Amino acid sequence: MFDFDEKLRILDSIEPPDLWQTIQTRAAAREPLPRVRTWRRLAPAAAVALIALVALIVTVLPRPGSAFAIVEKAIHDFGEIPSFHATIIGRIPAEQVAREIGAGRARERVYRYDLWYRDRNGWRLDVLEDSVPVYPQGGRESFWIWDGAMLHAYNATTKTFFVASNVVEGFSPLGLLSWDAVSTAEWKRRCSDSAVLADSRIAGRIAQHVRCGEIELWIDAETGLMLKIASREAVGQAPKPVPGPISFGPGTTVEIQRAEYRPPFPEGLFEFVAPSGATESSGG
Amino acid sequence: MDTALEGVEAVYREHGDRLWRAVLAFSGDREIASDAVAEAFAQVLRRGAEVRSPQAWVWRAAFRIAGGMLKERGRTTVFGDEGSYEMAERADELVSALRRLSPKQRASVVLHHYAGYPVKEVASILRSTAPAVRVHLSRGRKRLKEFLESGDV
Repeated sequence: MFDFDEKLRILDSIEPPDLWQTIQTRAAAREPLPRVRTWRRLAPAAAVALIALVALIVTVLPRPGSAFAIVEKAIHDFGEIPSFHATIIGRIPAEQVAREIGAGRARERVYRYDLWYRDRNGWRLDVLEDSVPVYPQGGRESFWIWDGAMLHAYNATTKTFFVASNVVEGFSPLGLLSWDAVSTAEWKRRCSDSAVLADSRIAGRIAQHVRCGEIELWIDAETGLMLKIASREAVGQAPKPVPGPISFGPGTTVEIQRAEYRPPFPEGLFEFVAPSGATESSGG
Repeated sequence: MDTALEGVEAVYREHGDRLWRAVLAFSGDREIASDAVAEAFAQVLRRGAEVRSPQAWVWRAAFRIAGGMLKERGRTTVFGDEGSYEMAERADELVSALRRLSPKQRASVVLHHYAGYPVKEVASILRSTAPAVRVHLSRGRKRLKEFLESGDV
């Protein structure tokens, strides 16, 4: 048996030089190497982990506070909301559209509105597009004007318009975005199961994000305007009864895409002029 | 004398000679062995507390420094005689046989059979893998045995 350990032990017969003095001289002759401390080596990884943790806390974990308190304040502030000009986009899942309009097969409804809001007594909503124009709001080029006394609504799909004075009592042009659509008591009930989530940006505004039941809300932290609302209810369920002129069904999202506060209002914006060929209907 | 210096000197007193002989067996050159070992210990001294295990560190550093020097020289040289005449001759024969192995085979054989490092540690010192070191060891032992038994060194 060839014993390599034994063979190499021959090396022990060699007498090495004493290098200790040389070692010390060499070490002393040079500047100490910069110490890379453990914490500095780990700093980048630790920083990434910390950022990830903070992001998790900020974005996922509920924060202390009352969602209803935020909603209640927003409802109060809404009465004093400054004038604004905004684009609103809404999305309703196809299955929900089928339920709402009674069609067997339907596609997702995507609508986009241009909204001028001066105050509760002056607003105008123009339909820029609506992929399912059979809704009462009408398709593209439809518009609604409220001058504080009368509502004028033109439906470009049917080329009809109606004028009403009482149907808009308590109604806001924001529709789903309106706090008027749901009573404070109803919000309080919904917010019994709630969470205050991380602030985010909607339409360039800082939005307080809360969840009340299965509804998520993004509220302009400065003005109380509801910038976005989204239903997390399972699509296909019957819409829960919501007081107000427009139902808000499962899976629906409505969001302000662009908002400009205190804009200059064009002349005659709130004056209704029936489009050529339009006929008056009995009402909306 | 500070604690770090004492610690490094203790490591040197305990392992310096064995390390020097191992590097000599690997490089086949006294100057390289002395230079590499002195440099490795000097670096440990300069790094101070940053090095958590000076012993393991100097073995790795010395072999890497020696390997670098060998590459620069592009050759290995025969070392001179030390100790008794008989031992020097036998040691010379051994180092001559080792010199005919590849650098990785040589380093593996020396670190494993002389320094006593397990394969995994040898792999760490050589920045290699345990399976690769086993291959180097196997081939190195086979060739070394042939050279030593044939006397063709």
